[in-house]
Amino acid sequence: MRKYVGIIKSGFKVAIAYRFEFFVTLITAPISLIVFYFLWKSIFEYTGVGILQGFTFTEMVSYYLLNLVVGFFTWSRIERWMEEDIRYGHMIKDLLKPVNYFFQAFYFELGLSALGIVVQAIPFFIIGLVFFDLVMASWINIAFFVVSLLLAHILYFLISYIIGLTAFWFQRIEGLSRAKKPIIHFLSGGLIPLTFMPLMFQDISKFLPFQYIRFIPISFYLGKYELNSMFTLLAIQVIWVLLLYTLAHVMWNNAFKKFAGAGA
Amino acid sequence: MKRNFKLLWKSWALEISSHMAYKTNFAIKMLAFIIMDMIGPLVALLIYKNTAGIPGWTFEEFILFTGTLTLVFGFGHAAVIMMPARIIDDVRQGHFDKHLLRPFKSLTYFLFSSPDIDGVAEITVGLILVSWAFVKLGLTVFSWNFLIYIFLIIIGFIFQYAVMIMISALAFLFVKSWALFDVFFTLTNFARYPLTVYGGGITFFLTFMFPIAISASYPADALLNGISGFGILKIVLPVFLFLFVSVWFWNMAMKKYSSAGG
Repeated sequence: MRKYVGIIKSGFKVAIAYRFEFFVTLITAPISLIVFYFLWKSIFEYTGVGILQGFTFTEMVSYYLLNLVVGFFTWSRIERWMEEDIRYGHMIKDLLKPVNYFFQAFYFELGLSALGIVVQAIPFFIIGLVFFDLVMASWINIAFFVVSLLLAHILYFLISYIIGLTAFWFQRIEGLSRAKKPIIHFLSGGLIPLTFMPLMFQDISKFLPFQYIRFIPISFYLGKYELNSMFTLLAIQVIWVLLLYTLAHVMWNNAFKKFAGAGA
Repeated sequence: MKRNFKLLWKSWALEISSHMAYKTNFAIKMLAFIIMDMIGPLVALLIYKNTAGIPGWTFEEFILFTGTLTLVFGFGHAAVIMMPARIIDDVRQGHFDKHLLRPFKSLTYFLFSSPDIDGVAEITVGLILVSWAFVKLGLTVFSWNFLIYIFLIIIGFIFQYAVMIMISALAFLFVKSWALFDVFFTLTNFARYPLTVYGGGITFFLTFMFPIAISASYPADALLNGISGFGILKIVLPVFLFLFVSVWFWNMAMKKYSSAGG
């Protein structure tokens, strides 16, 4: 475990080098929230109802606020680094290290995210409590939110890692990488709560991993589910992590046969 | 002028040939941009299906608004968005001098030689959305309102250019100017919804201080409802003022440039 702690630390140090960029999001993130605040304020007033698809106006603002907080932790650019490593053959030096490549990548990004939690997520959460009427959830909901958030982080990483592995076949995956973010953002409820989607889509969504990246953790915090449902959803989230990990493992074994060390 | 267009032509030829080296990646990337730009209208559709919508705008009108925004951002993306990216990198690495040796004015050179093919996907989506809205709303291109609409789209592009000049100029003064990119892109979020959504203070800010509302709100509104001469003046002047300040900033930054790298 010590070697992984070392990798987390190195990720954290890299993040520190970019601390200015992290702090800038403390200015930019509230701007995004202000846009959504005014948008939904006008929609609620214009529609003339108190609840829209299960959300009051205050809950809607809280949803977008938590969406930003979750977003600080559920991100990954690992596929871009993997693309570089594979194309230029740099991966060979990582493979020589006595650490599994997957875990090297995972813990490094965990280190990067750690700074995000300290300088982005926590301050922004406090801003939400003070300025945007974010209600402090019950401890049980917070516990489910935190566990689900950790799993969401792993899920996002796994999806990015699987996309990264496709570089063994395609070499350039900038297109896939670009497509990843908006598609996940939309399907996970990052742009609009999934309850606004047609019922058929909501049913399909239950069989996809995306809603577990944003919508489910946020709904846990907002108390949208009973305790039993929360346990079930958390179990499904774990199953998705295991399924995607297995897929990544199988892909790696197949892809590695193609890797010649001199670049794909 | 002929020389400038020759530069533009050559730059685009190079941009296209560099992307053709990885055709699959290029195709997926274009598809990714199209998907990205279609997500906005999709969210709008969900909003209109579940609510009374955005005040003052029917769904078709909102698609005209979104299409216009995509079109203006697409032009900016295709022509000028790479400009600060190149300048920031070159200034940091001390390579900027080579641009000063070229037989062009520096700003003209960057305007005609910073193509980004990704913007073409945005322009395509913008045109599709605007065309769809035109048909649904029964609008015609043979009208004054349409001419004013085109004029305001060009002004919208000029504003994008002015912002890129400002960000580029700041690259000479601050090493961390990448962060300004983030700030700019976040501010563009305000432009994603019509001004009717915001209060008076923000509308004032988006019209006179950081006139990003010229990107869609004003052109779409002018096309649908017409606009007076004074109205045009009121929204165009802040853009030119912003451009003037940006160019002034650029010239000042050029005087300070020491070619030592960042």
